[in-house]
Amino acid sequence: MDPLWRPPIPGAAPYRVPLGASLPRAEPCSSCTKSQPWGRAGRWPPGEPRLPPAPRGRSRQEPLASDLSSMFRGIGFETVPRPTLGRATQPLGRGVLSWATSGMEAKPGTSVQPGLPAPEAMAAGDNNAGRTSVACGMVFAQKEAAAPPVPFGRAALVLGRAKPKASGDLPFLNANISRPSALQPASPMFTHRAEIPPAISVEQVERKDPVVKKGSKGTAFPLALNLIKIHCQNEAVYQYHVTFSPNVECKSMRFGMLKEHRSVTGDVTAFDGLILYLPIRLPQTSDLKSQRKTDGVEISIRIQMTKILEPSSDLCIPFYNIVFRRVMKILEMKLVGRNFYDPTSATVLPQYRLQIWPGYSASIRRTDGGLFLLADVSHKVIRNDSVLDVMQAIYQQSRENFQDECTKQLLGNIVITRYNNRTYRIDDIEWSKTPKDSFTTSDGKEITFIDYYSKNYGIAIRDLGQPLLIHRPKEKQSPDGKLLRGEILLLPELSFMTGIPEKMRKDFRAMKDLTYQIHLSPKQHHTSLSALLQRIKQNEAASEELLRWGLRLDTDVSRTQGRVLPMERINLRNSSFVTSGDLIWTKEITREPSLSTVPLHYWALFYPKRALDQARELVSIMERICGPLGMKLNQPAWVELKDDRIDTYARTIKSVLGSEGKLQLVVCIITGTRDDLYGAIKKLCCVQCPVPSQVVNARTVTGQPSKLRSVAQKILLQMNCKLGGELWGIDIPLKQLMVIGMDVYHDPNLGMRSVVGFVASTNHTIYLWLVVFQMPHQEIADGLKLCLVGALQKFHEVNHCLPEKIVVYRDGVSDSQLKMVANYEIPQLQMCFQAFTNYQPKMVVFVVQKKISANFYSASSEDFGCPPPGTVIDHTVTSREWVDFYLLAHHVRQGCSLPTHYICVLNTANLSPDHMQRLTFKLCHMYWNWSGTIRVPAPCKYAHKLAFLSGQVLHHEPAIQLCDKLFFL
Amino acid sequence: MVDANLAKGECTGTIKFTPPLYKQRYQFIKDLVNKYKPKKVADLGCADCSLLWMLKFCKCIEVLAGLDICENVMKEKMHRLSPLPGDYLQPSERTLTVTLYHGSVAQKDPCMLGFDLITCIELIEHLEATELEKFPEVVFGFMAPAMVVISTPNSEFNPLLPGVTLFRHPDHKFEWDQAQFQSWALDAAGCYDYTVEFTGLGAPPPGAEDVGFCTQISVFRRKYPNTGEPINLEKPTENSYRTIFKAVYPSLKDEKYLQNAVVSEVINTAQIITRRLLDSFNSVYKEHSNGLVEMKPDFQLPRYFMRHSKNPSLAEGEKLADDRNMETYVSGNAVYIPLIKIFSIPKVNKLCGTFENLSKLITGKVALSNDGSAVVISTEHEEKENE
Repeated sequence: MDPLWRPPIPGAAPYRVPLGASLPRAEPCSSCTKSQPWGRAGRWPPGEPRLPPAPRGRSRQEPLASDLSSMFRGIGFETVPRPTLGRATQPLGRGVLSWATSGMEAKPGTSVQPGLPAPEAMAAGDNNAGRTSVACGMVFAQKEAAAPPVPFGRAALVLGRAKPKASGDLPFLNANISRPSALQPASPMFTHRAEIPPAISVEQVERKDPVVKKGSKGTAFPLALNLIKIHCQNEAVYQYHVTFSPNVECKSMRFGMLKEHRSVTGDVTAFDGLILYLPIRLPQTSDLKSQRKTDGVEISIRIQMTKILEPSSDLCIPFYNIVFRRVMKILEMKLVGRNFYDPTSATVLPQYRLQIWPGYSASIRRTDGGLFLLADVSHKVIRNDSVLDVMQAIYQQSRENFQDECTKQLLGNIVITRYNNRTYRIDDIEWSKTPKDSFTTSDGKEITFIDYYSKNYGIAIRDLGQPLLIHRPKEKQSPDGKLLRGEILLLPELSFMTGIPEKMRKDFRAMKDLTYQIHLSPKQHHTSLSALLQRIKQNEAASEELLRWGLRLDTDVSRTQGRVLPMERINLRNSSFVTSGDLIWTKEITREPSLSTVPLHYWALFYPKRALDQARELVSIMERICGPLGMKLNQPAWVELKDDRIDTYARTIKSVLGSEGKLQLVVCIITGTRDDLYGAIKKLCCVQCPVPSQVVNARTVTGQPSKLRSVAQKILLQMNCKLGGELWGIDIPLKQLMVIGMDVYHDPNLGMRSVVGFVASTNHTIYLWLVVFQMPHQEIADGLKLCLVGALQKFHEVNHCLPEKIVVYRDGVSDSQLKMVANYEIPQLQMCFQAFTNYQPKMVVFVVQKKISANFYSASSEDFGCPPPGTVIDHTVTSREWVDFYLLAHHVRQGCSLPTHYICVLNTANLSPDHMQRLTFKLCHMYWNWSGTIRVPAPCKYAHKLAFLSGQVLHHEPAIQLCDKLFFL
Repeated sequence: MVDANLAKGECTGTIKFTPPLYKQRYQFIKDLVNKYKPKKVADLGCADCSLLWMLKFCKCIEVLAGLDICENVMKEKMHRLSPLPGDYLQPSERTLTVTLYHGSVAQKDPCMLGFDLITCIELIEHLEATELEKFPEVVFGFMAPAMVVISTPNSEFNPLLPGVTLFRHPDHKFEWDQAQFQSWALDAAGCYDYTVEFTGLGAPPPGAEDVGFCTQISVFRRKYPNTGEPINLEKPTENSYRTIFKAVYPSLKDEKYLQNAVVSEVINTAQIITRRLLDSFNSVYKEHSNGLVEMKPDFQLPRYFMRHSKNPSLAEGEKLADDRNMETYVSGNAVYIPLIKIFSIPKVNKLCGTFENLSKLITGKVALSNDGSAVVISTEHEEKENE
């Protein structure tokens, strides 16, 4: 045991697995998994019982350990198995760690501590929010006791994945809150309070002190937001605790009994079985009586007031949202997933066999500005075809590998069933079952699918031989604590596909048609929201529904002031310039030398025989334009391929790379859009024989000279990045700074495996990247720790010091996971610093959210437009719990402005709001694949690209030799 | 109606009905509907609309109505009666309108006229004496549907049920034994020219056969035929019910949905024909080119197709016109599929009925040849894919 290692959580020590020692070996793992049921099992090589079955015929499940060790090797970690860790052992890293004192050598292994409990499992868990407030140590003990491997921590692994729909179809009136899962994310206090005896005294909820988040830099700019102020007309909402004696276990019976006392409680109630909310004040204690129907026993019901809440209290938000859902139903909007759509106003695109339903996503929130309805326009793409139709079409096209093709095209798609209002994700296909098979209904009877649908819905199944679709809902916990893991079987014939078909996605013309329908200008967007407000206002029943709780919607969206941040200065090698209004600088960078360039001496150009002309054309134009860009470009090795088969490319590239050791870059010209060829080339050049590579579609280098020139410019710039050159820079006053971007890629075809992309800067412009493949049931923090330690090593290698400040941009985190990131993941990351002597850098962590429904309109003129890039807002719409801001960094060319939400979950560097906003905006300028600002900070975008390439194309970690080059652009 | 609770009561203790009796009652109605295929069905005392929800899946029903005295209980789950998203994707052939009314069965409202079946499941025992008195006149005299089904608890069965002291539910105003119910029903039937049959659900346990069914049911049938015109029109009644919910289901009877369906079917058919044509062209082309890897620079489908079509004299003027009526042909970058050919596809034929209707429905929605006789599918897109 390493004496210097301090267990962060009492009780964790026995389960410590010294990472450096055990990673490459399988033996210690099998023993440790026994004593450590919840932690790591998922990450060990196959053969471990908890590994999920490999998905049919795809996705090689690489043993992660070897991936990680290979990465470690590259970044200077010692991965040779060592029997012990500690001071006495031989030095760990060879080159990199030579600067370190012997006392810390052992630490990189130990500090990367695997297998700590996952509190997020509870925060996101279903029925035990009561435990969220329990201290970590206690939780740990609980889990230790749970002997069988319980897949806690799974919640953490679905980061960024579509959240399960928040029980959108709750049927109840009067908000009988029967499903706690709907409530807890918003108010973890809810159930917790329920478990403690009610306080007799009536207490006033205290107001929180607002966090400091307002900046001042930039110029004020009038904005309108897609928020509609909600006026609370009631004085208060009253919270009561309801006890039944003798106790009534059955929830529906509790509902029923309380309902009998409408004369006391009034018609407007929200009750979850324990806690009752009313808009009216009852006496301190009311005693009522009911008779239990089952046995006639008289039950006394005591309703005790526990709290007087502000009507905008967080505790009220969940049932306000249920009320609002009813309003939308009254307006005859159809709930699909979590949004509301109007199928009667559908736009039908018959050529693509789909319909677009206009609608809204709307929810009531409490933000810094008070209680608001956050409303966004949403469109649902629904296909006219059932899944069966789609399967038949696939069959027509590829009979041979029909099943594989179906799996590929269907898995992960969301379907909507014909007979009810549910949406399901297709997780698998059950080929061995047909509608003639039977299943067990809730009352324990066996019934065939044919009979079931005929009996319940009067639907006659036409195709009796179709396979069944499998949906695997998220595990739920049954009341007795068991995990329920059911499968839902669906009939392809009765399920409709939603979303844009893959084929259409590739069809430029079709997508243009579609975006025309979907992308609304700010003005249209606002008109659409106004129409909704009008409809609610004019529908008596709908406004009445809101008024029952004293809620009244404002007549128009809310208006406020934002700021436009100062423009930034872009540095090139010999000059610099301040960006212009639309924040695009293509012209500037194509006229002048890039910040730094790597001379391209040795490179090879592969092209099929019939693309010879394009190859010649491309090279000649590149030679002409490389001068102004400051690039030195030699003639390539011309490699002509006799045909354009994948195999030909692969063999030739391999043999050229084998004979020519100094090759800096491989450029391939391919004809047509061929994903398989692209994938094969990338796999070869990123994994097997690591070399930067550039694939050029022959079609892009045909056409007019002016067009050709700009294409060649882009390719050259991209090539320079891939070689390690820098295109431009920007002044960032913070010194000794490391900026980190992370994103997670999920692919249903990978069998729930996720890919973590991690990108860290070694100076203001150069990034280094790392990728970790994540197994299901494995904590993301584990992979991140490896990455962070590796990045810090590299930083030291380059700069001979460690960064004083680390700024992390973390993508792929939903609102409900923020606390998990702040309370668990970040402390884990901070443990990495122990790997270095006396190293305590300042750290700032931002969660970056792109998929948000907040929208800004520029209100500077009568008609709403898009605000200029650089618009920031740090009040009104912001969260009450965090320091956060919304930044629109990019120039909006089509549709509405889609700002990005930044939530600061850690700030030990004491960055001021101004600093945070400006640093973030500066980083949005630094994505070299686009000569303009982008929606997210460059490191985030790089991490995204990297994770996507690794997960979608390579299905493997890229070779570590490429780690200091942006080869993935 | 308090069926859910009642059923729970019935399930515990000695007597247990599976499926629960309330479900059996709904199933009884559903079976009756499937047997007699009524088009207009009303449920009096529809409560939480469970029965209506089950009935909306019966394909024969075009009008479904519910009436209850309690607005809140109806509103609780009434949105289940709304059309589902799926209903808009594949609209049904039949029309269906579901309406919920708030009102009393002791009052008349013309909206309840002309029904084929009216059900009163566990309703009458909730009526006050004055309401019960008016009930036969309203239901049999005024509404006068072809068929009425009335169910009510059989008080003779109560001693067998655990926990039942006086009535099965506190809101029951009375519970009748078999004789009381049958005499009331026979009176009503006699008075308003109906026949009545008695049956029930929930058979008594062995040894107690003479108490009869747990739920007693009477099925009334009107003796006189439907005159078409409601007979009570001479004394027009004012609306005494209030509509609280109305859902009109999308149906192919509605031209908007019919048009969508036809256009979608026509384009789909045309695309399939085009694809087949191009596929067969490609395979023939490959044979002829003897596996040459090199692609031809430009795509000469029209010329090629003409050479290989059944009719070599396609270029001749008069013949061309004839062929255009029957055969798919290619001209320029487009494939022309004669409408008449598309009309012969059974699905299209069934949707449109007549050729004129087809033309009318797709005009302006589908690209047609100049004379409107053929659907035009551009092959430009396909070419790109083949490139």
